Amino acid sequence: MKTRIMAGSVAGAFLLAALAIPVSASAATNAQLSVLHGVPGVTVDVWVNGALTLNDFKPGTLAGPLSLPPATYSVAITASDATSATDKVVIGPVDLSLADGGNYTAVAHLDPAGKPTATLFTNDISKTTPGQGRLTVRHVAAAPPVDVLAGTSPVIKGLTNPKEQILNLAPATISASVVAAGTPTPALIGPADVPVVEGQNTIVYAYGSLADKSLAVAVQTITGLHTPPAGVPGGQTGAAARAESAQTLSTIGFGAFGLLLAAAAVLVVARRKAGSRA
Amino acid sequence: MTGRAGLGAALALCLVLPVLAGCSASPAPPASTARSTASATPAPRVTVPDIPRVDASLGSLTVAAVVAPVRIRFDRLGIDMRVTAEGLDAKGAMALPANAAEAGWYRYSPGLAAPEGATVIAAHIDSRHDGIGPFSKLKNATAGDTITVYGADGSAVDYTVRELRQVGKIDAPMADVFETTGAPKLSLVTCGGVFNSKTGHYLDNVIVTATPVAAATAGN
Repeated sequence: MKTRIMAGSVAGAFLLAALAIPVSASAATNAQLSVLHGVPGVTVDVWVNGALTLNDFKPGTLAGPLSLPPATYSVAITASDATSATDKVVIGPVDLSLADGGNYTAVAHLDPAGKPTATLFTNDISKTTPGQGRLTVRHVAAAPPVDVLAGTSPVIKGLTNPKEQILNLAPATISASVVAAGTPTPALIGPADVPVVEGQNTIVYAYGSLADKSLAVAVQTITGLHTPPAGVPGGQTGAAARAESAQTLSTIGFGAFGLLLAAAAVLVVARRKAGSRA
Repeated sequence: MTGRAGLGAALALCLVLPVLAGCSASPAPPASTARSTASATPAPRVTVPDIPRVDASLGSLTVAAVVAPVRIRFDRLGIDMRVTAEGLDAKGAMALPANAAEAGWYRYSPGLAAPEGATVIAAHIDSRHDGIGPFSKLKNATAGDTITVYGADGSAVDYTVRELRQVGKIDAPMADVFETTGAPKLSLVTCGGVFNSKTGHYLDNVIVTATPVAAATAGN
């Protein structure tokens, strides 16, 4: 029994693989890569596979999205006067593995201790449910774990560098502030108005350094995730349909009624004849 | 779309074939030749692909003001209704005003004069509260008819009817009716066709699509 199930599932897996391979092979969708510079005070160059890709890239700037064939790319971040990917390296080189159709943001930022590093985040581009927007919060700052408050209530707790948290919410503008985890005040960042928009992923980054008093917020938006309502149930009683059919009947009704009467008369006559024969 | 794909392809080429594309930065022997050329040419750097960059500060996020529709007039059909902002019902369908005499604007759809997407206004064809509503006349809409929608800010936008459709609800093109991209349009929706008294629902949706009249006429 067990073996049979195993055999079945193995066969199923092969079938799935057979189905999946041609699809993924033929529909190789490029990955989308954005790059965010979240290291305060340093203008850098970004090199991809040894080629200068972003020249004089300034902090707080978002570049892209670049449409790239799925593959692993070597990314190095250097001083802005570097002559190659291996000259005056600030971060890396790091290998970024981009999957078919994936949507990514590579972030140059500080680790909790304040050392420059890079993190590749995968952006959630799944469709939002009808009437909802998405808020992604990423902690990429040289700072302890934080809570994120909407107004005064914590909506994200204990977020650590370099983690993210994703919330699906009704569209609204949120007055957001960032505090050290477990404390209501003081705000390390904000309060700042963050718009949550239907069908959009608003990605907020807390970057910079607490010790250097350079904490800041960067934001990225990904649109086109909208889902329409399930339908429009625009009637309740059928009164309109009845009114319409009544109107239709009033114009052709008498004719139809006359035909019915004639048919009934024919039937009655026929039955009588049949009856008299018996 | 093709433009972006083109850029991506060009970039990919540059990344995948750095040597061919002339953007190699290898420090090995070729570099010495590169350096010698560099001394002859004033620009030692290779051409960097033109990748869009934006200021990522929160302040740079512009959220367009949405003008909520508050009234709709479809004079040829004698429709003149108040419009309220509506969200979703418990089943994830668009919520509508209880009265068939009032229309609802899907509050997550683009507002009046939005640069793209469909402003969606729907109403019950009939309701338990007030019987048959004005949208029962939508089925008589004809291409070329004029519709005027008034906004909460006192603005008015004229639309020209392009299409009338009656579609089974199962096949109703909700993605098209509630489109958030593409040229701006007005989608009017109600019910129609056969009423199923067991389920309490009509089988069809009646959908009118209209497009804004050219801005030149909006001077009054």
